[in-house]
This record gives sequence, structure tokens and C-alpha cells, in this order.
Amino acid sequence: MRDRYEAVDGNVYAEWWQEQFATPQATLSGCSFWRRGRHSIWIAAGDVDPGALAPVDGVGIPFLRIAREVWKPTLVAVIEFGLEARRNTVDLDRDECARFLDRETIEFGDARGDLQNRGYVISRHAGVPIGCGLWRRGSLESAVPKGRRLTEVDLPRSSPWLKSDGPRYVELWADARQRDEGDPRGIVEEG
Amino acid sequence: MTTRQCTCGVVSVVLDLASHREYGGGVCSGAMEETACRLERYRDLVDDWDALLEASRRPLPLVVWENPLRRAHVEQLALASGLNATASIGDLLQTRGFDVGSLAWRGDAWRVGGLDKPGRTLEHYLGLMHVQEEVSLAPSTVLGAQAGETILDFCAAPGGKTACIAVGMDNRGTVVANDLRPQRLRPLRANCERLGIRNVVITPINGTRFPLDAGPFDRMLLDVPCSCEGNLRDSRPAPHGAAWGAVDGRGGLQATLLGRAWKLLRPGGVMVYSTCTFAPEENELVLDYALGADATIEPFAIDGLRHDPGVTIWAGRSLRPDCANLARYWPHHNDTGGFTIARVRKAVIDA
Repeated sequence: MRDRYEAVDGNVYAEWWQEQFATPQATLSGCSFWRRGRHSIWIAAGDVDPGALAPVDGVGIPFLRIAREVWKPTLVAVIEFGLEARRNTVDLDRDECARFLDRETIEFGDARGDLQNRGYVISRHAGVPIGCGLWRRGSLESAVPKGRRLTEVDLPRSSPWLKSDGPRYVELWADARQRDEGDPRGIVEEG
Repeated sequence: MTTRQCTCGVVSVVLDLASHREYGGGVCSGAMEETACRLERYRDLVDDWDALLEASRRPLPLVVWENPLRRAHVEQLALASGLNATASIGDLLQTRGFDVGSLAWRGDAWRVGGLDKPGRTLEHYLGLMHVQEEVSLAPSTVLGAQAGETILDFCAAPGGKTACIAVGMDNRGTVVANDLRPQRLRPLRANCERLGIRNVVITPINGTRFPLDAGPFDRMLLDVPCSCEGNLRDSRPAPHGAAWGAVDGRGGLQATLLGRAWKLLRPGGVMVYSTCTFAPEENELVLDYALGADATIEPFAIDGLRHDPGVTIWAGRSLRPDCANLARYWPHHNDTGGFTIARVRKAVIDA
């Protein structure tokens, strides 16, 4: 828990986020980026600085895990910065939302299964991001952390808006770092 | 079952911890004698003794506050639920059928009846709201942190008061949230992350040896470990294992923490010293001992939240006169837990 937090140039991470989720430019502007250990990127308000303080147990919030080939946004980053995402999002209805928060895998079983890419996408319910899931071959594996799992979530009251308004998937690429130039495989499903 | 001998030796009470929890808070009838006995030393300070004991029996109301950092998310959920975009978390919970009532002194927090498991709601999961005992919201109001300032929360875990302070700063400035206790750092981090607080640095440093070159800070909160007498309506055990009501000489540690923290406060800065206990030994006497001529305990009032003044004489000892400006919150006055708050300003040194 007490690794050093090293200030880093976060441009590469911010650019990945912009590309992956097509959030507005202002979403991450003014933030500072910190590396903890080898694989964990944290994000904080711009004027935060631990200075001479040591040890430090946290600077801002965790943002990105960069250990593997496919970068993984954290749950808190998706909720914090994913509200205006326009790409790589999947909307879930009440039942799917409850199952997603219970760390289940949701099968979509349709043409999306032919997407070869895999990567982390933002799951939404009622228009708000609720976490990220690993998308591959038409299935969405919930990446909600064990400690945040909800076995019986209490959801806001339902309305027709939740199920049918808006596109279900928005420009599903799966992972910006694996996308071929000139071949976005983006699919926008009109509502 | 736990047998506890009352300190005055008069009453021996069996405190059934299992039934204590089943009540959902409050003190079960078998322990009322102990409550009355432990608080007897404050009888002269209390205007309505019977009302205090009656309040002790009742469970605490559940209170939630809305996270201003997640306003856009609340709007989105409100629209999805068929409400206006200006709807609050209180409105959202009301549409679910919960009994929601505003607080007299804050428009962004509500008492919610019938909400047994707030942690299971989507709103809590998303960090749109936080559950916190009502009177413990007061220190951040008294502190008055402004966006862009540097704030030190000296004994921050589990992070409710830290969060109250930080969310009011619009993620500008820095809040250093410090706590020595390793087992309490996890909920501190979890709360800050869940609420999307990005201007917090968490440090696990022994407050008595906090580095002086980390300062000076514009404001600080010193919510010290105490004997937790004010938790008499709370079903949960005291956070640091204190036997309830054991005024057991914590004054030394509290004074040491205060002395160290004072050196980290900039001239002109504000410190809020608070405890969840009534004992003057842990409040006025600590302030009287540790504060010098460069400190002023300032008067304050929160409109809609009644308090009693501090004492300037206790156990035959005269204290600094501005101890009267301390605020003591009794459970029966506002239907809350017990709390004590002092707002202290450090003098500006003339050049």
C-alpha cells in the first residue's frame, strides 16, 4: 500500500482515454498523473502535490491499470470520467445492470460477436456509467472489483427511457491500442 | 454477553451486545442504568436530564448527504427516473418510497426512514451520496474550507469528515488526510475513491511526529481519538476499541496532537478541534493546556443546530475564558449523537 507515487507526464494516458471513449477534451484537462509501482496510474486534481510528505498512501484516485496488453480503466475512473463517453459503451437494462454489478458475464449473442478486438468498454445504466467490462466476442465480462460487488442492488425506479431510448452500443471498438488505422470497425446502432 | 462494572461501583450492569445491535442502535433497557450513571457527572451541564436519557434510548436517524462532485450523475438519474434535472438525492430516494426529511441546517442532507441497507443502492455505489451521522457533518461546516486552500485532516479515518471537507472544494486545493491506524486507512481510501475526491493525499503518519516542513496549512481538522461518550446511540462499537465512556486519560495524547498540529497551521489559519465525547477533560482542559496566547477560541453558531456553551470551570479548575465559545451538542437537543467542537484561530504575527 505504501509505494511511492511518482509524478508522470500523463499525455499518453489521457490520449488513450480520449481515443477509447471519445470524451470531451475538457474531461481530463487540468489533471495531474501519478505512477504507483509499475502498473498503476493515478489521477489527481492539478494542484495536488504530496511534496515532501512520506509515506503516502494515495494521491487522488486510481485511473488506469497498464500491466497488460489491454489497458484497464478503474471502476472509479469510469464513473468519474465516463459520463460523456461516446465510444465503446454498452447500455444495460435493469436485469443486466443487476447481473453486471454482481460480477456476472452478460452474453449478447448477436452480430457483435464477430468483433475480433477485445478490450474494456464502459457499461451504463440509465445513462450513467456503472463500471467497465471486458468485451470479447459478444460477451461482456463484468470487471467490478470483488470488494464493490452488489449481490442485490437497489435500483432507482424504472421508466421507459431506461430500456429503449438511445443506441444500445455506441461505436464498439473494444480497444483503441489494437485498432487498425483506417479500419475502426465502429458500429453505431441507431435507436 | 458482557458484564461491565460501572465506574462508580454502584451499579453492575449486564450489557447484551447482541440485542444492542438488534435494536438498530440506541441503548437497550438493561444498560440504561449504566448510561445514566456514566453521564451523571454532567448532570449540572444538562438542561433536561430525562430528555437526554430518553434520546439515548432511541436509535439514531439515518442521514445521507448529496455529493456535489457528482451533480451531473444525479441529474442523469433524475431524468431517467422521470424527475426534473434539478431533483436532488433526497427527491430520488423519496420516489422510491422512503420517508425523506430535510435537515434544519443543511439543504443537501436528509434523514431517510425505511432505508435499511443504503450501501445496496445504486446511488451509494456510484458515490452520489454518503451516509453519515448528522452531527458529525458539523466540523466541516465550522471549518469552512475554501477551494484552492491547503487543508490537513489530522485523524482522518474512516473519511466521512474528510469527504465533507473535500467535496466542498470542487477538487481544487489539497486535502491531506492523515491517520496512523492501518486498519482504518482502507475505508478512508475507499470512501475518497467512491466519492470521486481527486484533491486528497492520504498519509499514514503518526500525528505526534507529523513532519513540520509539510506545512503550513490554511486550515486543519483535529478530530481526535476520544472516549466516544457521544456514540451512546450508535449500534456500532467505538472505532478504536475504546470501552464506551471510559474517560481514561486520553487527554495527554490529545494535547500532544494539538500541540503538533498547531505548529503546522499558518498564522491567521483556522483549526477545528472536535471530539464525539462530552468530557471536559478531553475538550476544554486539553484546549486550556495546549493553546497559548496566539490562539483564540472563536464563537460560532450553526443556524438550526442548537449547542450549549463550553465550561470555563471544571472540577474546581478555572480555564481560559474563551473555552465558553466551544460548542457542546447534546443528543436530545437536535436528535443526534453527542459531539463537541471548538473553532480556534491562530493569531497573525505582526512584522
